[in-house]
Amino acid sequence: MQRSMLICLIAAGMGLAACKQEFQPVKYGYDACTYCKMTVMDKRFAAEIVTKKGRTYVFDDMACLLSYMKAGENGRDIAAIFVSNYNNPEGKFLDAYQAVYFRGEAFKSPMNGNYAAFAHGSAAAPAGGGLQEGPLNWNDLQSTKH
Amino acid sequence: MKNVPVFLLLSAALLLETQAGVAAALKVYPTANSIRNAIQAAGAGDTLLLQPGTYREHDIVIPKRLVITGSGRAVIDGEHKGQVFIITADAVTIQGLQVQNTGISSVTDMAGIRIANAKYVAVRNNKLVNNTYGIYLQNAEGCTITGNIIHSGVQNEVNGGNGIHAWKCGRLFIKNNVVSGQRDGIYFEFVTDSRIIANRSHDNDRYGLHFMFSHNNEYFGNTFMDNGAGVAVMFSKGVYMHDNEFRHNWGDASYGLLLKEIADSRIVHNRFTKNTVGIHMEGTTRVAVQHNLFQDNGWALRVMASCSGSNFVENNFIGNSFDVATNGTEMLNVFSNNYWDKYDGYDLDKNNIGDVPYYPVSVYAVITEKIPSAMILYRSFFTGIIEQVEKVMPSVIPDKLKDDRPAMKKLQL
Repeated sequence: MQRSMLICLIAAGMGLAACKQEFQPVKYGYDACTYCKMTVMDKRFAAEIVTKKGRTYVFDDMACLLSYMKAGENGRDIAAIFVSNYNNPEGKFLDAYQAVYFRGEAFKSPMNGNYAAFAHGSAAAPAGGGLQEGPLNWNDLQSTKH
Repeated sequence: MKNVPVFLLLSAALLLETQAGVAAALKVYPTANSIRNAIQAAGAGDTLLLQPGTYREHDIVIPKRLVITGSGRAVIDGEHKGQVFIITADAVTIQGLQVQNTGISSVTDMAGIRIANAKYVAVRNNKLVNNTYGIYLQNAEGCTITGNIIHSGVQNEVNGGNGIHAWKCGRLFIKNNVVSGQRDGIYFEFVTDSRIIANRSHDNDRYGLHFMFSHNNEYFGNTFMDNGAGVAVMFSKGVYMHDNEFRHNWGDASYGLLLKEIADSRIVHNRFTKNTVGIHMEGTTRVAVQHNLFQDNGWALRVMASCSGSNFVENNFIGNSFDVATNGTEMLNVFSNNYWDKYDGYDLDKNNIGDVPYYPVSVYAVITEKIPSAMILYRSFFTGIIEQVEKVMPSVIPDKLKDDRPAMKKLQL
């Protein structure tokens, strides 16, 4: 009897946790990328999709997120997309629709997508040489090959 | 007798000749910048004998063909300031040293020993301690990395580096190394025609071995255990993996072996024991899985519907909670002549092949694939009933995924 109570409580807890449409912190070294299944470790390149139901999908590389969206999964259910700020990976994630992206081999991102996100275009300067493309906005990303 | 002076002259000339050609061996003692100065003074082909002691130097560039040997206990300490050795010349040898304490940076990948744009470099029997990256190869060809011990005790997930990291390399030979405490033990990206033999990669933060976009490589006789997420082989063709041991890679997103987008590869004679998932496969094409042992895993195999032409023949499946899980009903792969300890069919014609097929996907494996949290009811009375009902009237399990010729006895592998 106690056990079934416990199960009910856990289920209720999970239900509550899943309802809010908000950013869930990425558990580095523990969460796996939704698309490539790799464990997310590099804080500079992480990204996250939040659906209208409040479910979160974590990615280790912008290329994975774009491929995942291209595959058409959760196409209409997306409430928000967040992406890690390359210059401040410990800080707050950026709104992916507003962020500015640069792409270059020098970034060496986990899945070789090599996109880095910045709060604004001038912030990309310290990343230095090897920049191939940029600044790009969200719409540009949809048309690039990755 | 007239010939004697001529002979002497000749031999003296010869001696001089060889003297000039013979490489010198220079002893180096730990004083300020002593290694850097010795490299500058040495000629190509010389040997530097590093005497015991601690050398506090970093970013030591080796631009000529030298042999650098630690006679005894020579420790080169980067003092967390930068990289230690940067090899830019062909055919350099570094052996018997302890290289430690590189800097930490988010811009540069800090390496204990970096080989940049060089060929035929040998790194032998060194100890690499607490470096961000242990040995880092970029645009390197035909290099030999053997008998090194690489360990990092620094917990640093963001900038943590790999033990042996190779990027855009060819014909590497990596043997008898022990790697632990790094992000990935051995990491290959754009590496071809290389061999990874008899290494031991354990207790790394993420993968014991990690392959990306690396074709035509072979790895055998390696042990991968207790890594955060096991081994990942991704986006590669022509990978030949045999006689490896994948043990105790345990965790939520952990796999003995994770295969994603792999084509024309072979997985033979490996042992997968006590992993959350023995092999997880996605998007594989023509992969032969043969003569392997899957024992005491949570899932022995997870074969996603995106896999095709991947054949599972003559493997032993013993004591796994689930033998096979999949996410579809179509099955374009073949299972044949495997031994499944859960098989309870019969063999009336006594040919050691079961007379009725074995369906390795249990109904509960199907349910938990769709609703992971249903696992909480695993081995309850309720699921026992479902299993029995399914046996009488199959409706949930993918009926195309079956072994028509299950072996009655454990196979001798």
